[in-house]
Amino acid sequence: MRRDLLAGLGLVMLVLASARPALSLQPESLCWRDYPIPVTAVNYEKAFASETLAPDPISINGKVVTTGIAEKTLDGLLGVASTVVEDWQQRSDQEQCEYLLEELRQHANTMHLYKLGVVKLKKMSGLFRVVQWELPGVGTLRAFLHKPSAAEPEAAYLYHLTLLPVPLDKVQRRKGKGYVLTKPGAPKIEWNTETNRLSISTRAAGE
Amino acid sequence: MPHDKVIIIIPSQGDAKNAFEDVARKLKKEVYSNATIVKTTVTDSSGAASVAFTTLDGHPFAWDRTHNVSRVLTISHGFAADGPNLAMLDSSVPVEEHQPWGSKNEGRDLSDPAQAFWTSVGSSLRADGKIILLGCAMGSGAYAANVAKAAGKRVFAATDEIGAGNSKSALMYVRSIEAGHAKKPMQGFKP
Repeated sequence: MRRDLLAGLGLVMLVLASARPALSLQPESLCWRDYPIPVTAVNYEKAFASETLAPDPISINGKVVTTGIAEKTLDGLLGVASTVVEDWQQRSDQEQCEYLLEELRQHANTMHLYKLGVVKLKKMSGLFRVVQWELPGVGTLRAFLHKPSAAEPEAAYLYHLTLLPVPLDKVQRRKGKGYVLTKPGAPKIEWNTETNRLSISTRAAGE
Repeated sequence: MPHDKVIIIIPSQGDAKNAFEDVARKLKKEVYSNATIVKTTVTDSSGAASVAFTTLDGHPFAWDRTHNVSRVLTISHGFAADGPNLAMLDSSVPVEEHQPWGSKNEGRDLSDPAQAFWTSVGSSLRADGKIILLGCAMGSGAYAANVAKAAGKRVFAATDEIGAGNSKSALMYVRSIEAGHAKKPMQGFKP
């Protein structure tokens, strides 16, 4: 009887011992860390020449694209229809945090780190979608959309803009105050790296 | 002198270290004339961050021998969950050790080293002493409030991004705190 009891206790201890490491081995997700992965310092000129930017707001011929706008409104502002990159997906705040970490892995520099860090703070959950527009002569604008539930309206929470690449030596810093980068030729594109505002003008001067 | 003993902590390594030192020197010159500027050096010690403190003239600095301090400031990069980043972009230290006084439980609680550090800082501060965290967004989550709780002292931190390495804006924020009206995004957190 006593031996049975001891054997039973031993079995319980064995189960506990085998269960505990499994629990403690589960690492805390990296995604909630401020600096979850190694990143490089952003090189603004290089980013403007050939990488993906995360500007907000974006002014296109005077029309302002900013976060909080619905997809249809964006279609109207941009004058072209979007194409779907990722259709609506349900995500918890933890899954969204992991999703943002994956975005950071793809653009591992300090600019995206801070941008995604601010988005992460909102701890969004619900439905998510990604759409993009090809802007002739400019590049590709991608909008990340969110709605808390199917019944609620969606809003863009992040933009990625990949401009048509130009050689690095063609990127110029505009004279004057601030750190504003420009590209030669048409359309006229300017990026204020301090305010993160990007302006595109496809109209010829005087138009 | 209301601020006879002030400790300003800056990183000795990583991105913008010279800018943070410049801000510390200007704060000492224009706001806290008797401040001691202390540099941190983070090293990896068997998979955990180890932080050494050294004064600008190269002497070791010990918190347990420092008392009756009126202000402790940190000037560094930072963000919402894990406090001051003392080695940002320094590849000689693992990235997870860049913020040695970070958080656990998805940013809800201070990590054990952070709890120990901020408690010791609180012990060095006098009763009406304050902690000022100059860096981005350290007041936007639970971090600054947790530091206030651990130290038992009032903490000021930013709820948004600020230019901690820009002496003009950093001094403006500190002056506003000292004048009793913390300028946004700096915000006060009670213990």
